[in-house]
Amino acid sequence: MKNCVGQAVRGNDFFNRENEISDIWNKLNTGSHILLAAPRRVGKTSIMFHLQDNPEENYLVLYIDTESADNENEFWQKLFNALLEEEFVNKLKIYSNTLWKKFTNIKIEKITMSGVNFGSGEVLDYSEAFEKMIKDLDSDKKLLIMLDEFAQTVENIIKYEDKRSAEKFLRRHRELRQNRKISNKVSFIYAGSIGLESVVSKVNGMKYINDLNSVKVKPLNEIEAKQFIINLCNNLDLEINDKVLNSFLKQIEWFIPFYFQLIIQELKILSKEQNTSQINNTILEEAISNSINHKNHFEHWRSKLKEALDINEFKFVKEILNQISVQDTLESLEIINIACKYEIDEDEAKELIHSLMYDGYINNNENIKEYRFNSPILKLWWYKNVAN
Amino acid sequence: MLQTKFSRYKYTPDEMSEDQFLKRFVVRNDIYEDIFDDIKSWDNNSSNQHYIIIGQRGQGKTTLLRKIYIESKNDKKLNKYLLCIKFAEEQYQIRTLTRLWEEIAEYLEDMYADDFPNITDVLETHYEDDDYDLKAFGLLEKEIKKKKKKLLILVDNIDELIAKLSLKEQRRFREILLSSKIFKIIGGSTKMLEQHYDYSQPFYEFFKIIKLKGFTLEESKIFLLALANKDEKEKIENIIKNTPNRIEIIRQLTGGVPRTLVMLFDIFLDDEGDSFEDLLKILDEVTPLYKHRMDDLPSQLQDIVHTIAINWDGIYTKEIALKTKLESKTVSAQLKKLEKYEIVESITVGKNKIYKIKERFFNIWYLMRYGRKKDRQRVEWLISFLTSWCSKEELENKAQGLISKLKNGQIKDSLAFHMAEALRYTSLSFEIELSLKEELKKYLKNIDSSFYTQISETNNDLYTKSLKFENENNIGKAIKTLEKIKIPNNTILWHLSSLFNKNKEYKKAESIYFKILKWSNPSIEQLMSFYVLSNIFNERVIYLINKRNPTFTDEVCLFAYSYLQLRDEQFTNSFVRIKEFLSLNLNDKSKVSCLTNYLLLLISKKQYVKAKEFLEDKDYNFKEKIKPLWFALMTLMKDEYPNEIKKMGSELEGSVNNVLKRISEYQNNGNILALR
Repeated sequence: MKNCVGQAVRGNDFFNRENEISDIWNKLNTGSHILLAAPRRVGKTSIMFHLQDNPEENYLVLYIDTESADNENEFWQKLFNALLEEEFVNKLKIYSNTLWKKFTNIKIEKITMSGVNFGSGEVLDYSEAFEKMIKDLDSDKKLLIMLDEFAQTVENIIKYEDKRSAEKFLRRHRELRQNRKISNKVSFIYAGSIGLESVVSKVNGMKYINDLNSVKVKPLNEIEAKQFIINLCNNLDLEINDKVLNSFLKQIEWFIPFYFQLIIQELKILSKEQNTSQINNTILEEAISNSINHKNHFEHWRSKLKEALDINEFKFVKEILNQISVQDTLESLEIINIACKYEIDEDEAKELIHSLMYDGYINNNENIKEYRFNSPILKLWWYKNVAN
Repeated sequence: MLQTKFSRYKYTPDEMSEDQFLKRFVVRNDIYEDIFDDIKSWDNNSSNQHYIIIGQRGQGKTTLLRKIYIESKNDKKLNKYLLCIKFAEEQYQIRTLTRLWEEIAEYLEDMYADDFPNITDVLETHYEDDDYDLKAFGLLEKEIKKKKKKLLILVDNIDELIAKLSLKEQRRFREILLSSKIFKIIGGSTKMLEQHYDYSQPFYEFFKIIKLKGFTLEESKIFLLALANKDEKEKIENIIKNTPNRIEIIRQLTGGVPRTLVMLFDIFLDDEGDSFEDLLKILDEVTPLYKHRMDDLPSQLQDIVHTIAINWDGIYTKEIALKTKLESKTVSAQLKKLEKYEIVESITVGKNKIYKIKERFFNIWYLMRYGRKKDRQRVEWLISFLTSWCSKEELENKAQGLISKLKNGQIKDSLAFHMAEALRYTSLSFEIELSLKEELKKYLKNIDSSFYTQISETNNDLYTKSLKFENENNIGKAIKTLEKIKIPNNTILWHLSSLFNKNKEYKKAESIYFKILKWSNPSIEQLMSFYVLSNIFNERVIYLINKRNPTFTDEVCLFAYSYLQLRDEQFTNSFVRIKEFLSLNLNDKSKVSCLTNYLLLLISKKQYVKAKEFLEDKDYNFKEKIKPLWFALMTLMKDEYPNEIKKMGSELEGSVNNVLKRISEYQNNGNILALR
């Protein structure tokens, strides 16, 4: 198990998430389409890679990241091209000969920016072309299409076209999912590092996604987290005793693999510098404090908010997070007070707090009326780099 | 330092031959191996980690990239499937993401012609397609997959490439980084170290960032040995064996940054000046980056950075506050920011912190650009290097060498100027410094160099000038001239002190003296020693003697002073003073009493001849007046004058013995004070 930092992992580097994975297959098998929900950096993409590399027998899996698409046509074009992509087609040949034959028999005269000209003289736009291809399929295997960064695509459409186009786009997805001829042959998993729900609510589009079955990716539990750390440390020839391990867990609090990977990278550097493989608490403290210098892993926690919110909303959430980073917790009454300062009404404030929770910044797990950072590491970074 | 001198390749590792390069790659093996192991284990079923290596300029990013490149190409297993492409440091032609893929296609066609004889044609056939930009990578990927290959891209200054990408391209880039199984990228960057670098785009998170730090002492030793040629190797081995501290000093001076390390060595060893030209070129190249770093800071921070940079050596918060005219509190808060931005670093000394510029090369740049002209500031870094690396003798040899080079005109003006300037501020002897300056002046004027007008006034120049004013009896001006010297040595301080005395500014004179001696609360006794050693007798001395012996008249004070001079063995000065005392219009009894004391001390210090001279002085006839003393002296000198002692009357025997006893007491008790 290599210590991969930041990048989604594959193969032996994947730390098993049995619960989530069986949950996903179970739900898919009942015919559901899935919304893979979790804050950023929790490991959604790694889970999807795992599904792709280890599919259940009757599934053919396609993974696609569509975050660069900024209009509907481009999205479908990407999806259409992905289906024609050689690696996928080769997979068809191995796993489903009928499907492969079907695919290779589709005659495509010309593919242009706006659509596809099938040999019959029929010119369809990409969304229709996709639908036609799927409908024409006749196979023993079901297609599983995983759309990563889907919410980003919706946000792009809002930004570069308009809300109406975004709404139309969401409606089109829902139509496809509701269409039995399609739904029998293909399942979708929607995922992304920004919350789909909060983007969708901008265009009043909750009704278009309420059929999705949500699978929540949770942080690791304590036993898993310990095992995860031990696996990584073993691989890097680092020795960590129980006492230090417990202190490690205590300080991370929010057990997502990413923070462990980041800090273990620093542990390795320090252990080399200090010429020891034995990790003690001093080295651990230093590694944690060094880890927040990796601007590339933290800056977007701030920039994401700045990009997605209008100026007053941004100032509001910034102050909320600043205060929590300084005083550890913040009561809901205080939040409403701060909202007033930025002329944000109570409902709007609640919505914003909800998206902060959804996106993994804060939680109110211990006390419903009190908010705190999910991750002490993020809190430390925020305190040093934003609040001060 | 290097076998092939006078080429810039030592600063651009890509220009070195492969063999030579590999031989010299001796440090940072662990970082290289981590990355290389990852490359070797990379397959379709494993994670695809991308990397960015960040570090100060000259820290070894390009070297590391080249090492990865060479080893990847030479590895027999890897080169079966790994296509390795390394982009040069400047990639002006790549303005869009699509252009990057096209460029890669061209490389593949050039370098892997067997596998990709017409890959550019494949791209070109789609050139007119509306969605060419969308599928360019797909086309490239398809061709590479067909051949079952993988692509490793090494990009120096990857920030330049990223900066050119539009928002949409950045998102596209992120898609590829995340999902392509055949594409791995390893970048290098200096800019990404900067505080102002914008990391807000989420694709940065796919990179493992490896930060190169300065060499440790051990690494510096290994590195220098690997770089040296045969002759130099022996020298360096000797240094490591005998004076390892020198390596540590130069390591600290350069922050352990390999390029700065080599550069200082080259400048030190180069006699003709090409290495200095290289330095000036590199300074030009870094100007935009460093200027940006400064411009990006608020003015108060700029002010603080300026103060620290100009000081070169570490500086206390207090001193910064004094120089910037800011409150200490404000300075402390701002220093914290600068530390966070990694522009300065601190070390703790007791309760205080000493700050210096973290990137030593930035500091060199700053001094060379913004150090005052005609001042040591601009070469402070070189002075620092020379004085820590060379003994006084070596410095003087180096200066002599430079003088003859100047005479022969075999040296470039940039090296001549900077080296001479720096050497002049090391502790050269007065004569060598002066002739170095004269030769430099002559030479620069001769070749019409722009450096001619920039020659600074060193301590010696100012000292000479001050002496001239002093000779003209213009003490005020003489003082002012000496006060201009920034870092005066003790000779200058001593002289300044004497000038203050001449000007009757006694307290100032004393304070300088105590600064030299590092005395904090001097006693009257210590104060007196100062005047005794300076051979100054004035109203201040009389005041000081009176403080202890209020009954002393001015005349007796003069005696006391000469007595103290004798005590401190300032014989010649003391004799002049005592003669002055004797010539005063005083009654005979006082003179005899005083001189008896004086002679007792003189004899106890074994100055028999001089004592005899005083006693025999015809003007005073002390020989007759202080007979016991005379015969005591003669007893001590009986080997030379055996007959004299026979003249002594027996009635004197007791007194003579008493005198001899006192002399021997004086001798046994070095700490005599007989002022009372």
